[in-house]
Amino acid sequence: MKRHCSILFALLLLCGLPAAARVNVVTLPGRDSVLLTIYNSVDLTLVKETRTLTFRKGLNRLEFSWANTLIDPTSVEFRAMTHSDAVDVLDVSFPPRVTNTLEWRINSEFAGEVQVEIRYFTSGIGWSADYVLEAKKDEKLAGLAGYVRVNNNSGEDYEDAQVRLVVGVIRLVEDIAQLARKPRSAPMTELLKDNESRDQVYFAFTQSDTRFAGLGGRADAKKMIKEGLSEYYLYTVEGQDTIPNGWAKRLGSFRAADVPISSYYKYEKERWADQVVRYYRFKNDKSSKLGNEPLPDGAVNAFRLATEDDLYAFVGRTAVKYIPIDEQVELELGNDLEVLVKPTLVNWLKTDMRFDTHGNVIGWTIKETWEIEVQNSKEIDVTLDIRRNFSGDWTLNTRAQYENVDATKVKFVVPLKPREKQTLNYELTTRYGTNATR
Amino acid sequence: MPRVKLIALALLAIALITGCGRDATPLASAGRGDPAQRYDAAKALFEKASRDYHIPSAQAHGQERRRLEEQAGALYSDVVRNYPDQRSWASQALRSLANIRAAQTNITEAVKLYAQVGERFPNQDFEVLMSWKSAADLLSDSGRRADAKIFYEKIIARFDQRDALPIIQSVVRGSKDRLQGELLLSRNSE
Repeated sequence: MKRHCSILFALLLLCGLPAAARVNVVTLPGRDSVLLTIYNSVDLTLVKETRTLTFRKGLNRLEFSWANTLIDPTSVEFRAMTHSDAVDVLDVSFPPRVTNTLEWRINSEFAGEVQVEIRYFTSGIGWSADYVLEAKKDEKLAGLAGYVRVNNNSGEDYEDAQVRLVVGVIRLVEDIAQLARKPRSAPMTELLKDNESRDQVYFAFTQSDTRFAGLGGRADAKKMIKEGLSEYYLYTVEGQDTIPNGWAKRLGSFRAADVPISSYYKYEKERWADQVVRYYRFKNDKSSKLGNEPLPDGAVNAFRLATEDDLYAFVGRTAVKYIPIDEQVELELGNDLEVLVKPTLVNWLKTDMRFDTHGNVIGWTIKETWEIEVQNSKEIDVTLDIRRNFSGDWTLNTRAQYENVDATKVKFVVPLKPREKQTLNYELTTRYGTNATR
Repeated sequence: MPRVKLIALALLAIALITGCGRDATPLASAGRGDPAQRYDAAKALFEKASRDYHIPSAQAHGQERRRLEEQAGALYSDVVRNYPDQRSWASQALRSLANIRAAQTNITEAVKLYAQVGERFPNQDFEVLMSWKSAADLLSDSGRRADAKIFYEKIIARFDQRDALPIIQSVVRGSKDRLQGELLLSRNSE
């Protein structure tokens, strides 16, 4: 507002004079509070701001400008929060001397300060989540911090704003969300101007907002709403912050210490060739000191304490999808050279050949003997998950423990102590042609 | 001579195919582009008019004010003329042009332009509402009550709906009040 005067409030007193003789431009009061509820999926933000205005008894005029912003003027609403019985909007006009400005003519039976709420929708404000995970040296506990980056390209500055984020889809506006996903250059508010369902959209959003409005304090405000097939969650960012137009601001969202994690390593040649991929696993539940809310999609940067003087080493970066409460989280953190898996085909034999009457081969069996060397060069315990894919009519013969993942895949889960080496052996028998029984 | 003519024709054809200048202005490129490009071009032109000329004109005085208003007006006219398919921006530009004429106290021209918003962009509900209300208030404030009455009545006829957005309901309520006031005034004057 300071930079653009994009939202301009001027309380003008009529004093019974014609419009041309208006006098006493009273204070331009700053916002007492501003609350942004950001519906990322449809590029719409509900802005609710409160201001304390000094009304004179009788007719008052109040101006609101949306010039050079993405505010949708059709959504602008005014209401008195205090002395509401004494304050009444008589008319709205659009003065020509300034561009894209409306003027409320307000009759007040009360003289003095009145707290008012202005609410409207704007496009151009979005958010994304990101997380920082700091694992302890033994990789059994970690600190997890969540952040929200709010991007403001709405044309308007928001000072000391409270931010709430809606995670998930609201059933009533799924059609509009679909519209929003189409390639476009116009902001959602522009598209909605041509859309008859706009009123329904605004109604749905304000209804959902009203549900949360009654929840009171911050602790209660984190709330999951389930409605038919849709599920959405209102995520309240702690504190207030100024988000100027054209800026992206990173705000703290939550912080949890000593979250139990496990280091999990996966090897699957068909997916990662010869690389062993490291995962951190934890659960979004109360016993893991999380589970207060679902975690929205976002990037995770993982670090591990490298030295006793709090020097952290970068472990990896990954992206997580929406994590509901009580759900297990797996962070894929890339290749780790300190855990090795080396499979070797040590023997190969074709047996049990069958021929037809012309001497052609119609059935045979192949026996492969495999040796898998595994090595943990780290100084911590790790769990290694080795997956092997087989095709056709196969049987596996091994002393190692394994489980079938599906008809063509098995997994060996091998816990390894620090600096431990092991060798797994298995014999794979695969029957082909008339030898195959399945 | 025929050879010279041929060269001239070839040059003309090349100029037509490639465009005459490298720095195509929004005006020069107005006929081209997909809807998204045209949307962006219309938006850029409208915002330039508003940000660089129209808004500053409200703070300026005398000749400078007049100059800024005319520059804003010229760009708004460009938007209306070259981007009629971009209804959102074209209708805003037409209403803004009317606002400039109103600020210059050229009431007849302003009202004519406000009325054109409803005629040329009838689907742009809110732009039509704002234009009619501005026209009505302008006429009413300048004592042309019979003309104002037409616009107030049009607003009520089209926008008086129970489930309308709150801001539209306020405009309708205000129009009804104004209309009642106008009727009272005309009765008193008879």
